[in-house]
Amino acid sequence: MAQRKILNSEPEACGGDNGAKSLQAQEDNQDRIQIFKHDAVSLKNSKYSSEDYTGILKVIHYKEADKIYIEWNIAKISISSHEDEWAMVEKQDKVEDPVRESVSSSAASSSRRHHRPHKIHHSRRHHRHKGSSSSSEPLNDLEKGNPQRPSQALFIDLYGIKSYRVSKKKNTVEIIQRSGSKDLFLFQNGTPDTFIDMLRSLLKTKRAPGRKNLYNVLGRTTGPTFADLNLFENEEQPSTVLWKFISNIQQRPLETTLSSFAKFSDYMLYNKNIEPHRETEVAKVAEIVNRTLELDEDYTVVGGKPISLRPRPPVQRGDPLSHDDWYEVQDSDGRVKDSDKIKKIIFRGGVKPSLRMVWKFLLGMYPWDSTRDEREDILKKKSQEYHRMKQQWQSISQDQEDRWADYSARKSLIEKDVCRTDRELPFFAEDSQGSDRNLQTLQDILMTYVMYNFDLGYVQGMSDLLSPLLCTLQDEVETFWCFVSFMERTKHNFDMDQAGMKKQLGQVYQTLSILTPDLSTYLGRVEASNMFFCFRWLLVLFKREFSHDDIMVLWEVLWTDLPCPNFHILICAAILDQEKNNIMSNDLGFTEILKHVNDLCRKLNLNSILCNAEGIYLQLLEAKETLPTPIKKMFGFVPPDNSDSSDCESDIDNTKYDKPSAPSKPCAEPVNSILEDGKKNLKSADYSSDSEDD
Amino acid sequence: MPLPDKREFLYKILVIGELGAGKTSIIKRYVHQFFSPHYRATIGVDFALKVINWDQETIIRLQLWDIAGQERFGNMTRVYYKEAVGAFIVFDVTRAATFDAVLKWKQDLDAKVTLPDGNSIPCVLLANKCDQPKEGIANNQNKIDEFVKENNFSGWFETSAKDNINIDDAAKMLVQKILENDKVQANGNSRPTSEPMFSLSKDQDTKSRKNCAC
Repeated sequence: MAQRKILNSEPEACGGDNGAKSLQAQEDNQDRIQIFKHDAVSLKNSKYSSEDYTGILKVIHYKEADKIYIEWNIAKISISSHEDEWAMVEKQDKVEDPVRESVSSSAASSSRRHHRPHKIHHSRRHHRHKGSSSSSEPLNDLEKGNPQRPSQALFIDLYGIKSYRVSKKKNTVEIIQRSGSKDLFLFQNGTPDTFIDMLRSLLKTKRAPGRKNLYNVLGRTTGPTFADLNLFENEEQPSTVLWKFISNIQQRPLETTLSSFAKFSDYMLYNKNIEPHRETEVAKVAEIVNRTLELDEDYTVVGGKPISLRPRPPVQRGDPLSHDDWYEVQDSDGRVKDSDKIKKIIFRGGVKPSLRMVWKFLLGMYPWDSTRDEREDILKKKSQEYHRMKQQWQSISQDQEDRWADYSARKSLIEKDVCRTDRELPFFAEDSQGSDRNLQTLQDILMTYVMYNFDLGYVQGMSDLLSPLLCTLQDEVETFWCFVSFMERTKHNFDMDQAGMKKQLGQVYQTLSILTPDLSTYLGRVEASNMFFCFRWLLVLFKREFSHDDIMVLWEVLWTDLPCPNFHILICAAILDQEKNNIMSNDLGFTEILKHVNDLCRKLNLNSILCNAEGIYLQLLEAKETLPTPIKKMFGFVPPDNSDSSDCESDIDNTKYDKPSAPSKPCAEPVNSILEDGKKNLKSADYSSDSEDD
Repeated sequence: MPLPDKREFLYKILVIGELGAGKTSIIKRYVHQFFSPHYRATIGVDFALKVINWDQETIIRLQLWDIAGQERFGNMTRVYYKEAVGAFIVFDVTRAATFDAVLKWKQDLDAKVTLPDGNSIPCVLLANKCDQPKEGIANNQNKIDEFVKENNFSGWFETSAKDNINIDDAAKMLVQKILENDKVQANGNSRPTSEPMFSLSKDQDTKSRKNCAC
């Protein structure tokens, strides 16, 4: 029989004895598996006459009772928090780690488990929180009693549903129970598609004759059948399906094909029961799809099976580039004879702080093979050019500026940001006379950059990118030109339409979906697949996340362009992989992930992240044949678009990057192994960007 | 001694306005009672939580979203605005241009988030840095009064994060408006007004009192 209860909270939290309470208690034990969750769903029924309240819609499987409930909880804001910060309590007695357990929409039993108790409603943990955000004491009070009691909630027994009605236009789903009760869910921020897919995966349905959007429930699904693929629209006549498909494919060929194939691949991904002899066929189909479609980067066709990466090989960091290393590779005229070797050392160990003038080479201000005399000439020229542009803005009078809004706006932005850039560094502190000369230089360089590239101008974040360069190089002219090179690499972060940022956020997601599909699936489910929480990381290349010393190492590593293009995407992936359990086992939602990631600031261990990022690279490299095209392109496993194939006949194995010995064991002598091998002539895809042609 | 039924509300509040208007400084002053002229420019969004013992029966938690002021990043703010129930728009009285942008921020806000009944969320205007010499309209209180009325702000305050002027009062006004809205919404929905969104049981509540950060 259908169960349906509206719960109102009462002061005697523990006193009432009703079905709701026992359900809630179950929520707090491990018997409870969350199959589905959707934020920002409002409810309309006989009790709730308007869409006044937003809630969270979940589908929970209570294993022991073998009941599945659609649960809706009113929630103004779906976050958990407590007084000072929103630290999460870590659960000590968590038993299983669903590392590779993929979430299935078609079978509740393979869903990821959510151990409810460690997501703690803020109202229940005041007495414990003080200064102990990582408290590991067992949460006995939570597990034994005091279950969380939402003040407003609705429960619908899934197997008591008679029918449901879908309106895709209005983004609503109405559930009609056998008891006659009707509840209308409005999905405020998108379509109810995932919810409907979930219903279809659990219930056998048939379209009501003559009623376009009404589906009658016939019973439970017994197991995935071919029909569960819902390859085409639900339960329609084959002829209708066919004509619809044909019309779709005419109008939107790529989308239609991909969405059909996506349904195949989802089925393959999440179905563990593919007969072994079919696997090769499935893989072949995937390969055909990958080859046939010249895919936009927006689409990823996943192979028939989840791409299985080998375990991550351990990687070790090396020593920083030393003076000996540096002078050893130079001839008597000061030419750097073996820039590849230098880059390899820097990739693996950074640069000794006193030797950071090599940044001028790394960033391309000086060609590696220039002589000392040539460099003097270059500097002279660059210096003149710099001062010419500096002169330009310095000669603008206030009067002129008043009539030049675009310039004035840029200048004002710079002034606002310069005075609050890295002020905790002694370098930017006022001296005893109250002078802040270095801050002034920072401003001058940014103003001159406005003259160098007026269209880009100044965007917040640029002062963060400049500051470490000035601190290190100190010379105004050299810092400017190195900044120009750095901006060449990162200018798309500051696109007016944010295209560059969106692309990279998408790349992080794509990478995660290969590396750790359970996390990417999870992020999709909590509506965090936009990856906005990586925004600051990417915009200023982790500048805010690491200490001043660490950021210099990280950047010089990135400037080597080893081992592949877009290595910074792998840094993101490494950090998220490391935080995966925190995110998933605490059941963090979009806001909470944003907060969690913000709070990682200055708590990250650079060396271990670099090792992991390189390890991930090696994992991908090993599986490169099976990777989707966008991933291959992203990390240079195939030539980038429009490039002459003769340039790129070399494969990644022939690049300037040396793998750290055998992947199965730690690299004992990373530096030596690099030093051994100096003669790599073949270019990797296009990212061996040193200035040999200059 | 256990207190009677304690109500608890959690509200998401946006703090928006032009770059360098003092959004972060206002939040840090409000939450941590501290001021520095050197807070870094916010990139993306930062968070802070302020707990208010509103009255004997009510604890209010304000989840403050400190959103970067750079216009270029504006197109991702729709996601950040989601589910907010109140907002501060901040401008800098020493720079008239920051006031000129207030309307743009207000329109953006109203376009991206509304109360469930379709009304705009309560929004208080903050004329920050009032400890410094003013430029333009900031000198004319009547004009701002008019502007505020015309553009459907709940009210406005001259504030100074540096000298801690009016920030608490501004927050009080905003919370007041939010609570009023909550009651109206609840009435319209035939939901008992006395019923809190988040309810505490007795024993936890007494313990929570001493740890409140406010």
